Amino acid sequence: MATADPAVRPADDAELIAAWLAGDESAASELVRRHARALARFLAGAGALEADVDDLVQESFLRAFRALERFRNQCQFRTWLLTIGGNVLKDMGRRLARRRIVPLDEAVESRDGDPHQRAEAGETEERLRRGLERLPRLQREVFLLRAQQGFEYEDIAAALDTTPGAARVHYHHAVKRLKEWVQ
Amino acid sequence: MNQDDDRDVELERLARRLGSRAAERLDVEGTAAAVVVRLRTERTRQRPWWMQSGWLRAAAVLLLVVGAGLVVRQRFLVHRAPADHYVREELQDLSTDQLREVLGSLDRTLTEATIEPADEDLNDLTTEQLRVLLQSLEG
Repeated sequence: MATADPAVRPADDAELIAAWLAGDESAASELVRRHARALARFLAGAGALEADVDDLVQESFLRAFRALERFRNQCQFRTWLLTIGGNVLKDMGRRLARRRIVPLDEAVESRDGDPHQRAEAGETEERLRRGLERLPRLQREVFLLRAQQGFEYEDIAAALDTTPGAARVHYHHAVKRLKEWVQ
Repeated sequence: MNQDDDRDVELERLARRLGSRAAERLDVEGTAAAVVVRLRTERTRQRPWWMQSGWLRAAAVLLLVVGAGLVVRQRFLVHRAPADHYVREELQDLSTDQLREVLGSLDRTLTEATIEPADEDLNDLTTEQLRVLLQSLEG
Protein backbone atom coordinates (compact mmCIF):
# COMPACT_ATOMS: atom_id res chain seq x y z
CA MET A 1 0.00 0.00 0.00
CA ALA A 2 1.14 3.57 -0.62
CA THR A 3 2.14 5.52 2.46
CA ALA A 4 3.05 9.12 3.20
CA ASP A 5 6.60 8.14 4.09
CA PRO A 6 8.82 9.57 1.33
CA ALA A 7 11.41 6.84 1.94
CA VAL A 8 8.90 4.22 0.89
CA ARG A 9 8.37 3.78 -2.83
CA PRO A 10 4.68 4.27 -3.68
CA ALA A 11 3.06 1.06 -4.83
CA ASP A 12 2.50 0.89 -8.56
CA ASP A 13 -0.87 0.06 -10.03
CA ALA A 14 -0.07 -3.64 -10.44
CA GLU A 15 0.80 -3.91 -6.74
CA LEU A 16 -2.36 -2.07 -5.74
CA ILE A 17 -4.42 -4.36 -7.94
CA ALA A 18 -2.83 -7.44 -6.38
CA ALA A 19 -3.44 -6.00 -2.91
CA TRP A 20 -7.09 -5.31 -3.71
CA LEU A 21 -7.57 -8.81 -5.09
CA ALA A 22 -6.10 -10.11 -1.82
CA GLY A 23 -8.78 -8.15 0.04
CA ASP A 24 -7.05 -4.84 0.83
CA GLU A 25 -9.72 -2.13 0.59
CA SER A 26 -7.24 0.69 1.01
CA ALA A 27 -5.62 -0.43 -2.25
CA ALA A 28 -8.93 0.12 -4.01
CA SER A 29 -9.21 3.59 -2.45
CA GLU A 30 -5.73 4.47 -3.63
CA LEU A 31 -6.50 3.36 -7.19
CA VAL A 32 -9.60 5.56 -7.19
CA ARG A 33 -7.65 8.53 -5.82
CA ARG A 34 -4.97 8.03 -8.43
CA HIS A 35 -7.19 7.79 -11.51
CA ALA A 36 -10.54 9.42 -10.71
CA ARG A 37 -9.74 12.89 -12.06
CA ALA A 38 -8.32 11.56 -15.32
CA LEU A 39 -11.42 9.43 -15.72
CA ALA A 40 -13.66 12.45 -15.02
CA ARG A 41 -11.83 14.50 -17.67
CA PHE A 42 -12.12 11.67 -20.16
CA LEU A 43 -15.83 11.20 -19.51
CA ALA A 44 -16.55 14.93 -19.71
CA GLY A 45 -14.54 15.14 -22.92
CA ALA A 46 -16.43 12.20 -24.34
CA GLY A 47 -19.74 13.97 -23.83
CA ALA A 48 -20.87 13.29 -20.25
CA LEU A 49 -22.78 16.00 -18.48
CA GLU A 50 -20.91 17.43 -15.52
CA ALA A 51 -23.83 16.52 -13.31
CA ASP A 52 -23.43 12.88 -14.33
CA VAL A 53 -19.67 12.65 -14.05
CA ASP A 54 -19.65 11.62 -10.36
CA ASP A 55 -22.01 8.71 -10.98
CA LEU A 56 -20.23 7.69 -14.15
CA VAL A 57 -16.86 7.70 -12.40
CA GLN A 58 -18.21 5.52 -9.59
CA GLU A 59 -19.87 3.12 -11.99
CA SER A 60 -16.74 2.87 -14.12
CA PHE A 61 -14.60 2.03 -11.10
CA LEU A 62 -17.10 -0.56 -9.90
CA ARG A 63 -17.11 -2.26 -13.30
CA ALA A 64 -13.35 -2.13 -13.43
CA PHE A 65 -12.94 -3.68 -9.97
CA ARG A 66 -15.45 -6.40 -10.81
CA ALA A 67 -13.48 -7.24 -13.95
CA LEU A 68 -10.04 -6.80 -12.42
CA GLU A 69 -9.27 -10.52 -12.38
CA ARG A 70 -9.43 -10.41 -16.18
CA PHE A 71 -7.00 -7.48 -16.43
CA ARG A 72 -3.67 -8.91 -17.60
CA ASN A 73 -1.54 -5.75 -17.71
CA GLN A 74 -1.96 -5.73 -21.50
CA CYS A 75 -1.97 -1.94 -21.16
CA GLN A 76 -1.80 0.60 -18.39
CA PHE A 77 -4.54 0.32 -15.78
CA ARG A 78 -5.62 3.87 -16.52
CA THR A 79 -6.04 3.25 -20.24
CA TRP A 80 -8.08 0.15 -19.48
CA LEU A 81 -10.16 2.04 -16.91
CA LEU A 82 -10.92 4.85 -19.36
CA THR A 83 -12.14 2.42 -22.00
CA ILE A 84 -14.45 0.93 -19.37
CA GLY A 85 -15.59 4.49 -18.69
CA GLY A 86 -16.33 4.78 -22.40
CA ASN A 87 -18.54 1.70 -22.19
CA VAL A 88 -20.35 3.02 -19.13
CA LEU A 89 -20.94 6.30 -20.93
CA LYS A 90 -22.18 4.51 -24.02
CA ASP A 91 -24.69 2.58 -21.87
CA MET A 92 -25.99 5.89 -20.58
CA GLY A 93 -25.60 7.52 -23.98
CA ARG A 94 -29.17 7.80 -25.12
CA ARG A 95 -30.36 9.19 -21.84
CA LEU A 96 -27.49 11.65 -21.76
CA ALA A 97 -28.06 12.68 -25.35
CA ARG A 98 -31.69 13.51 -24.61
CA ARG A 99 -30.75 15.59 -21.60
CA ARG A 100 -27.68 17.23 -23.00
CA ILE A 101 -28.02 21.02 -22.88
CA VAL A 102 -24.83 22.94 -22.25
CA PRO A 103 -25.48 26.65 -22.49
CA LEU A 104 -22.48 28.64 -23.60
CA ASP A 105 -22.63 30.95 -20.61
CA GLU A 106 -22.21 27.95 -18.26
CA ALA A 107 -18.61 27.82 -19.36
CA VAL A 108 -18.18 31.49 -18.67
CA GLU A 109 -19.89 32.09 -15.37
CA SER A 110 -17.44 30.40 -13.01
CA ARG A 111 -14.15 31.57 -14.55
CA ASP A 112 -11.89 34.46 -13.85
CA GLY A 113 -10.35 36.80 -16.46
CA ASP A 114 -11.67 38.84 -19.33
CA PRO A 115 -15.31 37.98 -20.06
CA HIS A 116 -14.80 38.31 -23.82
CA GLN A 117 -11.79 35.95 -23.81
CA ARG A 118 -13.61 33.56 -21.53
CA ALA A 119 -16.58 33.52 -23.84
CA GLU A 120 -14.35 32.94 -26.86
CA ALA A 121 -12.41 30.14 -25.17
CA GLY A 122 -15.65 28.59 -24.00
CA GLU A 123 -17.04 28.77 -27.49
CA THR A 124 -14.03 27.02 -29.04
CA GLU A 125 -14.12 24.39 -26.34
CA GLU A 126 -17.78 23.90 -26.92
CA ARG A 127 -17.18 23.45 -30.68
CA LEU A 128 -14.58 20.83 -29.88
CA ARG A 129 -17.01 19.10 -27.53
CA ARG A 130 -19.70 19.08 -30.18
CA GLY A 131 -17.19 17.93 -32.79
CA LEU A 132 -16.19 15.02 -30.57
CA GLU A 133 -19.81 14.02 -30.23
CA ARG A 134 -20.09 13.83 -34.01
CA LEU A 135 -17.09 11.52 -34.33
CA PRO A 136 -17.50 7.74 -34.42
CA ARG A 137 -16.93 6.34 -30.95
CA LEU A 138 -13.60 4.70 -31.71
CA GLN A 139 -12.17 7.87 -33.25
CA ARG A 140 -13.42 9.92 -30.29
CA GLU A 141 -11.89 7.58 -27.73
CA VAL A 142 -8.58 7.29 -29.56
CA PHE A 143 -8.42 11.07 -29.88
CA LEU A 144 -9.12 11.64 -26.20
CA LEU A 145 -6.75 8.91 -25.04
CA ARG A 146 -4.01 10.38 -27.20
CA ALA A 147 -4.58 14.14 -27.16
CA GLN A 148 -6.21 14.60 -23.77
CA GLN A 149 -4.55 11.83 -21.78
CA GLY A 150 -1.24 11.53 -23.62
CA PHE A 151 -1.13 7.73 -24.03
CA GLU A 152 1.06 5.98 -26.60
CA TYR A 153 -0.59 4.32 -29.59
CA GLU A 154 0.59 0.90 -28.39
CA ASP A 155 -1.20 1.34 -25.08
CA ILE A 156 -4.34 2.72 -26.71
CA ALA A 157 -4.38 -0.16 -29.18
CA ALA A 158 -4.06 -2.76 -26.41
CA ALA A 159 -6.88 -1.18 -24.42
CA LEU A 160 -9.19 -0.92 -27.42
CA ASP A 161 -8.22 -4.33 -28.79
CA THR A 162 -6.87 -2.98 -32.07
CA THR A 163 -3.45 -2.40 -33.62
CA PRO A 164 -1.22 0.63 -33.05
CA GLY A 165 -1.41 1.37 -36.79
CA ALA A 166 -5.20 1.37 -36.71
CA ALA A 167 -5.17 3.57 -33.60
CA ARG A 168 -2.91 6.03 -35.41
CA VAL A 169 -5.26 6.11 -38.40
CA HIS A 170 -8.27 6.71 -36.14
CA TYR A 171 -6.42 9.55 -34.46
CA HIS A 172 -5.50 11.25 -37.70
CA HIS A 173 -9.03 10.95 -39.05
CA ALA A 174 -10.34 12.44 -35.82
CA VAL A 175 -7.87 15.35 -35.92
CA LYS A 176 -8.65 16.08 -39.56
CA ARG A 177 -12.37 16.25 -38.96
CA LEU A 178 -12.10 18.17 -35.70
CA LYS A 179 -9.90 20.81 -37.29
CA GLU A 180 -12.54 21.36 -39.93
CA TRP A 181 -15.30 21.69 -37.38
CA VAL A 182 -13.54 23.57 -34.62
CA GLN A 183 -11.47 26.21 -36.45
CA MET B 1 6.08 25.30 -37.78
CA ASN B 2 3.40 25.80 -40.44
CA GLN B 3 -0.21 26.81 -39.94
CA ASP B 4 -1.42 23.21 -39.99
CA ASP B 5 0.97 22.26 -37.19
CA ASP B 6 -0.24 25.28 -35.22
CA ARG B 7 -3.79 24.06 -35.57
CA ASP B 8 -2.77 20.57 -34.40
CA VAL B 9 -1.08 22.04 -31.34
CA GLU B 10 -4.08 24.25 -30.61
CA LEU B 11 -6.42 21.27 -30.94
CA GLU B 12 -4.35 19.20 -28.53
CA ARG B 13 -4.21 22.11 -26.09
CA LEU B 14 -7.97 22.39 -26.23
CA ALA B 15 -8.34 18.64 -25.79
CA ARG B 16 -6.14 18.68 -22.70
CA ARG B 17 -8.33 21.39 -21.20
CA LEU B 18 -11.50 19.54 -22.04
CA GLY B 19 -13.22 18.20 -18.96
CA SER B 20 -10.81 19.86 -16.56
CA ARG B 21 -13.62 21.59 -14.76
CA ALA B 22 -15.47 18.31 -14.23
CA ALA B 23 -12.25 16.81 -12.90
CA GLU B 24 -11.68 19.73 -10.52
CA ARG B 25 -15.21 19.47 -9.21
CA LEU B 26 -15.01 15.76 -8.57
CA ASP B 27 -14.93 14.82 -4.90
CA VAL B 28 -12.16 12.25 -5.14
CA GLU B 29 -12.19 11.19 -1.49
CA GLY B 30 -15.97 10.89 -1.51
CA THR B 31 -15.83 8.86 -4.71
CA ALA B 32 -13.16 6.55 -3.27
CA ALA B 33 -15.20 6.03 -0.11
CA ALA B 34 -18.40 5.38 -2.06
CA VAL B 35 -16.70 2.91 -4.38
CA VAL B 36 -15.13 1.01 -1.48
CA VAL B 37 -18.44 0.84 0.38
CA ARG B 38 -20.22 -0.53 -2.69
CA LEU B 39 -17.45 -3.04 -3.32
CA ARG B 40 -17.59 -4.16 0.30
CA THR B 41 -21.36 -4.59 0.09
CA GLU B 42 -20.97 -6.65 -3.07
CA ARG B 43 -18.31 -8.81 -1.47
CA THR B 44 -20.44 -9.57 1.57
CA ARG B 45 -23.39 -10.37 -0.67
CA GLN B 46 -21.33 -12.80 -2.70
CA ARG B 47 -22.67 -16.34 -2.93
CA PRO B 48 -21.05 -19.08 -0.85
CA TRP B 49 -17.91 -20.60 -2.38
CA TRP B 50 -19.71 -23.70 -3.59
CA MET B 51 -22.26 -21.59 -5.48
CA GLN B 52 -19.68 -19.53 -7.32
CA SER B 53 -19.52 -20.03 -11.05
CA GLY B 54 -16.15 -21.81 -11.08
CA TRP B 55 -17.28 -24.46 -8.64
CA LEU B 56 -20.62 -24.85 -10.37
CA ARG B 57 -18.86 -25.38 -13.69
CA ALA B 58 -16.53 -27.95 -12.16
CA ALA B 59 -19.50 -29.74 -10.59
CA ALA B 60 -21.33 -29.77 -13.93
CA VAL B 61 -18.31 -31.26 -15.70
CA LEU B 62 -17.92 -33.90 -12.97
CA LEU B 63 -21.60 -34.75 -13.27
CA LEU B 64 -21.29 -35.15 -17.03
CA VAL B 65 -18.23 -37.37 -16.71
CA VAL B 66 -19.84 -39.58 -14.06
CA GLY B 67 -23.11 -39.73 -16.02
CA ALA B 68 -21.34 -40.67 -19.23
CA GLY B 69 -19.36 -43.31 -17.35
CA LEU B 70 -22.54 -44.80 -15.91
CA VAL B 71 -24.19 -44.92 -19.34
CA VAL B 72 -21.20 -46.66 -20.90
CA ARG B 73 -20.94 -49.09 -18.02
CA GLN B 74 -24.65 -49.89 -18.15
CA ARG B 75 -24.50 -50.54 -21.91
CA PHE B 76 -21.54 -52.82 -21.45
CA LEU B 77 -23.32 -54.74 -18.69
CA VAL B 78 -26.56 -55.04 -20.69
CA HIS B 79 -24.64 -56.89 -23.40
CA ARG B 80 -22.93 -59.28 -21.03
CA ALA B 81 -25.14 -59.72 -18.02
CA PRO B 82 -28.11 -61.75 -19.38
CA ALA B 83 -25.99 -64.54 -20.86
CA ASP B 84 -23.87 -64.81 -17.74
CA HIS B 85 -26.97 -64.76 -15.61
CA TYR B 86 -28.84 -67.55 -17.44
CA VAL B 87 -25.86 -69.88 -17.86
CA ARG B 88 -25.00 -69.50 -14.19
CA GLU B 89 -28.59 -70.17 -13.16
CA GLU B 90 -28.91 -73.27 -15.34
CA LEU B 91 -25.66 -74.74 -14.18
CA GLN B 92 -26.62 -74.26 -10.57
CA ASP B 93 -29.82 -76.25 -11.06
CA LEU B 94 -28.06 -79.28 -12.59
CA SER B 95 -27.02 -82.36 -10.68
CA THR B 96 -23.57 -83.94 -11.13
CA ASP B 97 -24.95 -86.49 -13.61
CA GLN B 98 -26.70 -83.78 -15.56
CA LEU B 99 -23.53 -81.73 -15.69
CA ARG B 100 -21.65 -84.74 -16.98
CA GLU B 101 -24.32 -85.11 -19.64
CA VAL B 102 -24.04 -81.47 -20.62
CA LEU B 103 -20.29 -81.79 -20.86
CA GLY B 104 -20.74 -84.89 -22.96
CA SER B 105 -23.17 -83.09 -25.22
CA LEU B 106 -20.71 -80.22 -25.56
CA ASP B 107 -18.07 -82.72 -26.64
CA ARG B 108 -20.47 -84.17 -29.12
CA THR B 109 -21.41 -80.73 -30.37
CA LEU B 110 -17.77 -79.95 -30.98
CA THR B 111 -17.06 -83.27 -32.67
CA GLU B 112 -20.24 -83.25 -34.73
CA ALA B 113 -20.24 -79.60 -35.56
CA THR B 114 -19.12 -80.47 -39.01
CA ILE B 115 -22.68 -81.56 -39.82
CA GLU B 116 -23.94 -79.20 -42.47
CA PRO B 117 -27.73 -78.89 -42.26
CA ALA B 118 -27.96 -77.73 -45.79
CA ASP B 119 -26.14 -80.81 -47.03
CA GLU B 120 -28.31 -83.34 -45.18
CA ASP B 121 -31.95 -84.20 -45.46
CA LEU B 122 -33.36 -83.48 -41.96
CA ASN B 123 -35.81 -86.34 -42.28
CA ASP B 124 -32.92 -88.75 -42.33
CA LEU B 125 -31.64 -87.64 -38.91
CA THR B 126 -32.47 -89.46 -35.70
CA THR B 127 -33.96 -87.70 -32.71
CA GLU B 128 -30.58 -87.73 -31.06
CA GLN B 129 -28.94 -86.20 -34.11
CA LEU B 130 -31.61 -83.55 -34.30
CA ARG B 131 -31.09 -82.69 -30.67
CA VAL B 132 -27.36 -82.48 -31.16
CA LEU B 133 -27.88 -80.30 -34.18
CA LEU B 134 -30.21 -77.99 -32.30
CA GLN B 135 -27.80 -77.70 -29.45
CA SER B 136 -24.98 -76.90 -31.83
CA LEU B 137 -27.13 -74.25 -33.48
CA GLU B 138 -27.89 -72.70 -30.08
CA GLY B 139 -24.17 -72.31 -29.69
